Amino acid sequence: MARQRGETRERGRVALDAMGGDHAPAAVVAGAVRAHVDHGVDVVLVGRPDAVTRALADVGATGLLPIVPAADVIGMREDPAIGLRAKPDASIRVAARLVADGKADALVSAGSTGATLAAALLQLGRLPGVRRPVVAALIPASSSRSVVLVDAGGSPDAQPEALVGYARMGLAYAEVLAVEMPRVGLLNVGAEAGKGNALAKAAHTLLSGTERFAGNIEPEGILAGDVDVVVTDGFTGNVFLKTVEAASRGHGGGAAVLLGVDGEVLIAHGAADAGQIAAALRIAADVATAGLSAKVGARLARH
Amino acid sequence: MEQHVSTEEVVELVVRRVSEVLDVDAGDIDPGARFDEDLHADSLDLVEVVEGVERDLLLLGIRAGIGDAELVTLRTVGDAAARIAASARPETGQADDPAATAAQTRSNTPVGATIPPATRGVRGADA
Repeated sequence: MARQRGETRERGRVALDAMGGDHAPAAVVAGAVRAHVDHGVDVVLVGRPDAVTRALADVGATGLLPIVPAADVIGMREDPAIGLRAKPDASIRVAARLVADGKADALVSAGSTGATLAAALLQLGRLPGVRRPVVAALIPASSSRSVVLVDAGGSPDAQPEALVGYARMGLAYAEVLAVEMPRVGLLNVGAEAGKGNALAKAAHTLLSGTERFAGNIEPEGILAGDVDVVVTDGFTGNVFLKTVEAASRGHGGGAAVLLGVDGEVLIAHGAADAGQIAAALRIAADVATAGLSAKVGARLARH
Repeated sequence: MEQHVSTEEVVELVVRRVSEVLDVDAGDIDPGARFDEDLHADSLDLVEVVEGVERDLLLLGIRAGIGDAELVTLRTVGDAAARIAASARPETGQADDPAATAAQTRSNTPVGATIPPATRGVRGADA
């Protein structure tokens, strides 16, 4: 897919859904201003022009960042796909379209994760062999390293077959993060093969026939860094992620990566404050410069 | 009512898109296949299939678009094809239909959305 890249700029421009998030647009716009002023991140704000202009003015940054108008917003309670269909000018879809058209190199949203996944899939398309993109978060493990968690909250209701795809994408991501021969575990309530609910049992059977599968893993093993990738459905993964964050009283890393789409997409916390948005934007700029999705795609093609 | 594309032709397009989106063999998909019970497709799959077929038709000079309310009532592959075929009309270049507008991915930044040159200046200090 040939995209028209602007020739006069470096890769690293980030399209930010200014309307997405619990504290949008104020905290989101304030985070964009911080990322730009403190770290030179090239940000495009996408949203309702009046609201975004006011938010810029509130932090004394009138005219500092470009605004791309988008009339609608997808609500947190809307069916993401149907909502995007009904509102082609929703901020998340317009932002994803900027990346698809080569006018930005990465997308960041703190809005509905389902809407971000859907907009990315509809506008950017999937990497070859990917059935459904997956949200990947990095869980800090004891040995000063991180474990890739997939799905960290993209698709709450997953079929067992989907988890096999998540494992492949998680392993490819771990390899891009320079983990040699990464191993994947299935999040469960016990190590033995027969443990868990129907989904976990069926997924275990399917994963048992795949490379690099280390069997079931319990939360303690994940935090000890016993595997490099942990796979689960989006509901369980999101509960696990939030539990880890709450227990560590941390700020939650900044952003999760959407794997499996043909472009760079970062998902920030819904409750993100300006500092967390700024952190997510820096990660997005780095991910765009590194060309993460192409690297993940290349590794997926090998396995 | 005059039809600009036959239901049979659209069935072929729908089958191809369903096969891509759901990663199933096109030969295993017949017009009677139900999206939910047989294909386990969710709303995102449906939207992806329908928007994909709309793009395929646009390339043939045909604009088709079914509304979001109608979309959730689609039961089978044949059903989707028949409704898309019934909505088809020659492309006139007028983007008067939100669904059709949505179908134009990768080439449809809103009017007035010109992005000014990068307002960089700080980057580089830490690069």
